Amino acid sequence: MLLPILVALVAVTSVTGGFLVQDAARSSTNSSGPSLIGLQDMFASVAEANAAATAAHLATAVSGQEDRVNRNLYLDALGRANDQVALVAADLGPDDPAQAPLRRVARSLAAYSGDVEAARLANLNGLPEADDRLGQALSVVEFDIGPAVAEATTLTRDRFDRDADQGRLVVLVAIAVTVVTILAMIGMQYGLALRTRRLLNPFLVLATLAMIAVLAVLVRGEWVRTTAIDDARFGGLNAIVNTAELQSRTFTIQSELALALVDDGSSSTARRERFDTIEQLALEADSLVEFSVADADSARERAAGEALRVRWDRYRSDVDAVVTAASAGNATEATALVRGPGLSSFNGVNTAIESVLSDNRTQFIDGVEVADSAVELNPWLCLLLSVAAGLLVLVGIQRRLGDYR
Amino acid sequence: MTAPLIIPGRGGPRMSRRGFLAAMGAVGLSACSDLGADRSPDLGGDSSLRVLNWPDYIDADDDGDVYYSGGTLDGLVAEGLTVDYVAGYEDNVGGFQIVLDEAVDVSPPGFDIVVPTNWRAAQMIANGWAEPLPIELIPNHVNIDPAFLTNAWDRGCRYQMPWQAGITGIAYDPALTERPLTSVNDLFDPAFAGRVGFIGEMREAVGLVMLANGDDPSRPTRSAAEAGLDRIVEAAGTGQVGAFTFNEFAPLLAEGRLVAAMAWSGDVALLQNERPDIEFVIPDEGAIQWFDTMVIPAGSANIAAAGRFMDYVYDPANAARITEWVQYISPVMGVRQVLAGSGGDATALADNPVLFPDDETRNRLFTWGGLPEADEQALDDAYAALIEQS
Repeated sequence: MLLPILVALVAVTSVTGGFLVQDAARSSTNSSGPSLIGLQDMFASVAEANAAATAAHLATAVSGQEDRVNRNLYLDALGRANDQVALVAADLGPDDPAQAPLRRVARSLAAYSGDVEAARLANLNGLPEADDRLGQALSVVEFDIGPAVAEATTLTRDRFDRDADQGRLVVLVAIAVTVVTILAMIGMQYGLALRTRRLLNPFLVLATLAMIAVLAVLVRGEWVRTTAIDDARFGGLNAIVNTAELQSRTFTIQSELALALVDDGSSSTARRERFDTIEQLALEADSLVEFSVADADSARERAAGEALRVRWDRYRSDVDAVVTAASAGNATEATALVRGPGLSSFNGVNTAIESVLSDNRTQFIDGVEVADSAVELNPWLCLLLSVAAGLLVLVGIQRRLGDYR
Repeated sequence: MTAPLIIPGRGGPRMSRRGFLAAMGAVGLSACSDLGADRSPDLGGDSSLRVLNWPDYIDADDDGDVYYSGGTLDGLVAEGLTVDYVAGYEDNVGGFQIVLDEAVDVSPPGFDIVVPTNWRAAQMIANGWAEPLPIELIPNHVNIDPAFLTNAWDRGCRYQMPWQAGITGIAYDPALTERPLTSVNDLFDPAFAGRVGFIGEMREAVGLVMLANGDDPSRPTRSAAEAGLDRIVEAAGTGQVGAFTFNEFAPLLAEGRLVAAMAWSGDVALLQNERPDIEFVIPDEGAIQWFDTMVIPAGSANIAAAGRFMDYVYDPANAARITEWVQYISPVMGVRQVLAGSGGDATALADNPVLFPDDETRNRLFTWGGLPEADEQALDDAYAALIEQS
């Protein structure tokens, strides 16, 4: 009775492991994976809204008139951020622990937009509190939205990692049981051959082949899934994180530039500190750009990486020109540079970053989808093959008893 | 200082997609090969293509030959690219029907590049009728003016590359109006009844009237758009509108049959070669900006050739030649510098604010923001019916 029990064990462990892995793969594809991407997109939209709001604020402070182009960019980016919060919340599902920080993001976005509107109205009316209100808005991004997004990302990343590992132990047990079963079948075949002088019991041979097929399904599924998820994690997702960090620095540089110029009350030391911060951020961004270029592994990604480098160099040059002009006390020229070529090259580098992000996103989604499709049929295949093997074993054993009679 | 937001990342060993592909291949798991493959699709032929563009939209000689020696298309031939250039895109309704008939509904499509206006391109992309650009074949993609990169419907220009941009403002003959025109409301002045032209593109005509009404066409609502349309319908009903035109406004102005018209900036520039007294103004309320853009229809058999074409016309020297002839706003960075260094009339173009709007002017230009497709269709139908009745 050992063989039927072993085959039953194979059926139970392989089917259970198969369903666990299938659930995990679906969770990666439909929930934790898209949520990770959505959080990066949402973060980028908030940062873009912030940069546009500060640029519009600067333009209004200088001209007294609404900067319609940047105002529209701000409204579009803010609208996208709110939409993305809703999308991520839906992707995560109602009980996910990342919902809590996500709710904080939603609340903070409302507070942020309120502060931006207050700053805008004060600015248009020439009221002195305009800069303070903008500062409050920036604080909301820095101290509320930023940490909440980071927390949600950490929680979602943990869930993604758990999804990647879920079911692996059961699958490994199934593999071990299957190997033992195959060995037991071979042993029984050998024993039968010795006792009955028959070379082969064809039913046991077929049952053994069915078990070998189960083993192949399990090993292939686990191997492909692991490799694809690792590629998504270490290729796609890390590249996404790298690019998002680059985007973060670029947006912060743009905001810092605007603040350094708009804040007439700040001391030259405070302004110098802002410029030092900008320089530090730019140095970090230099490295991140080079990483993006080096990380490209297709002609399309290389082209996007090269375009990013060109656009970044243009922006860096404009930033340097602004800092030089402002440091020399030429605020008018610096302001004109920020509002004109500086903003243009900022938009250029920002959209170039998005292009790289888009390629990274495709790589990530490819990875989780390959993992999903690799295990989609596994539990059913294992069940079918195990049942077949069990029946064949039973028939094979009957044959042996018949031979004895 | 404001610290940058950091999204937590994790390091660790990684296998590149190429490495993964190699590993897959080693064990014969071909089902996964798409993960490691270069994602570039089959780009098809790279030596010939068909282009559908608007009339008078590329440099030509005095006889109107676009293949003349030394011209843009001739330069492409020298590069080994055979271009069948068709100037048959008349408007975004009839012209787009050609696209539908010959470029989208057949496989492979009849054209490898078509040049619809921005809102039509957005529809093509949204409907899956456009191929992603072969960026790897277009190194001059980095020369796209960033002002054209931030459209929500195709951020970064991954599916289209702008050909030329223009302004729909007001052109008028000061000798006939006997006063300067500065406002869209001037087109409704009864003194000009029956001698005013309205542009045949709904978004531009309605958009301009929305500006006159104090509404923002870059963030339109259906009610605001309908209010603009109603005002045009009323004007047409009272005989104020002499004609709804596309680029026929130019000869009508030149002949004096119209005293003023909603007009495209580049066509006015060409008209001014013969009639320098015709004025073009960006109204006080603002003007409508649009751009026509190169799109590769889905299923094109010559994507690589299309990429080569796009790269060529985005070389600033080649783009400057086109700008000098068509006199629309170039979306190519570096064109102004090329023109400035060319001497003669070209140098004067470099200082033309209609070709190179300054920040103040840009802030007065509005690009139609778009409504839900059903709303836009309803407005299109109503405007088309109005033109037909007039």
